[in-house]
Amino acid sequence: MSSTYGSIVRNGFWDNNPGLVQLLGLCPLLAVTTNVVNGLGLGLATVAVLVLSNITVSLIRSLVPQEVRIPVFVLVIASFVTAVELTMNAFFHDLYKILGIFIPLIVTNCVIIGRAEAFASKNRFRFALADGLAMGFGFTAVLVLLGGMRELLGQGTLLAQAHLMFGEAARGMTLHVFENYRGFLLAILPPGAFLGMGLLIALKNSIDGRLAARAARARRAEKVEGGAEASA
Amino acid sequence: MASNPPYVHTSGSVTRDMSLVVAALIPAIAVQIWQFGWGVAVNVSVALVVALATEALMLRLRRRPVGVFLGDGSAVVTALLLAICLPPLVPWWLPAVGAALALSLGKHLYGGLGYNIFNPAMAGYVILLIAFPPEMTAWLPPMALREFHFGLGDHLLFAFAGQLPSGLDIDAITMATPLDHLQNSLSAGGTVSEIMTQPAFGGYGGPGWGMVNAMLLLGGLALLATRVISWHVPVGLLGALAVMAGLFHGLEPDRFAGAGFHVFTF
Repeated sequence: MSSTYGSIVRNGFWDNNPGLVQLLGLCPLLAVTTNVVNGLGLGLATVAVLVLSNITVSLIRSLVPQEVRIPVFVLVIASFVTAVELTMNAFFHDLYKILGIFIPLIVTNCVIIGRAEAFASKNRFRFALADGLAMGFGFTAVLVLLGGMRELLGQGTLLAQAHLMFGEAARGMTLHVFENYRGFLLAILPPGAFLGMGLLIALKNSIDGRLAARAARARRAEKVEGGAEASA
Repeated sequence: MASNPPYVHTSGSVTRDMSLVVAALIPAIAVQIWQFGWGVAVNVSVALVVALATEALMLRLRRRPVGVFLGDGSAVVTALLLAICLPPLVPWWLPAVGAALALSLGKHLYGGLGYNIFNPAMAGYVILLIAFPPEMTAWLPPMALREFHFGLGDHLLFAFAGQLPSGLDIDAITMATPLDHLQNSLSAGGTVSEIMTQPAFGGYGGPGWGMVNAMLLLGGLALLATRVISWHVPVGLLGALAVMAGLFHGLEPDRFAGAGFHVFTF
């Protein structure tokens, strides 16, 4: 069983990452990642919705007739998004105001309906839970990474406005990486989101290419060794 | 003469064309240095160094023959075109960032020379304009409008150390380009004929600016004569600009400047 969980986690974070590979949910991904805190906020909200919807869809999967499954999934997702939205409005009001329309828009995030249809509706409760967590945190990781890149380049800080998420005590968490930094406005503006995302995808592809090349070399070396032993 | 593939076909004619483009730019750059000061030369130098370094780095990363492509002159042309678009008094990192991003994002990410869908120099210019609007819109006035001296040493000190000679203030000694200035004055309620009497205007494109553009036109004509470029794009662009400006100026001369001003200023 552990290999199943392992492949679920691997899928969510790397092989089938919703942000870098499936390219799902790009609209909020590109729009809110102007800094780490915004990315983390939207990421965690997405995790909450994704986990709850995956669990629910998995639990009701034998009760839902095939023909009406999509409307039912949408209804489930919309209910959880509304719940998460109200919760954020109550407990993280300033962050809620910054993320604005992108919180209710989680309902249209293709990652969530995609996992409900492709995974949760066909798998048992505990796998659906694991998949929701892996996909959700895989998505969050990309949001935080892109937010970090844009914040660092754009204004020379990391974790600015951390108090919006972690409370007043977290004001000191902001790292001023470059002192007296002039700011690179382009990174904060929408073109910076597209450029940053493109560079992240390129980096992932390049790492995958290197890993594949190394694996191929290792296979060849094994074969040569085996051949040498056979001839000896 | 047998040699091993892969062959690089382009370098001969590309090198010739790029050298001619550089030659055609020299009069305009000389006039721009004369009119706007040594800062233009500082920008050109920084852009050249960074452009060539970025070109070499990207060629290495892409495993292309560095020597062959570095010698084709295309990076030099990009650096020159970018540098002459920049205001004369800017910190050194502005042309450096512009040249690095022009060559890397604008050129090599699209596949290098011939595959870039945008002119790399103009891509670099747009990136700078979006990222650093205050630096990109403050111009030192041309010689004729200056009431202060600003020598090579002053330019170097500002570009590399951010220091101005005592008594001078960056906002006080810089101004908008005539085109910007006209637009601002128009939206503030002036009429074209009133605004045009101000010292920043006069002649065709304003003192200094008009001269630089005349030299660029001369260089362009030389490139046409040597068949480096065909007439279609420049005639299409400048013709459309002149026709539209002339048309609107004819209809409402108080709100729209004439064709001559539009073609010869920046």
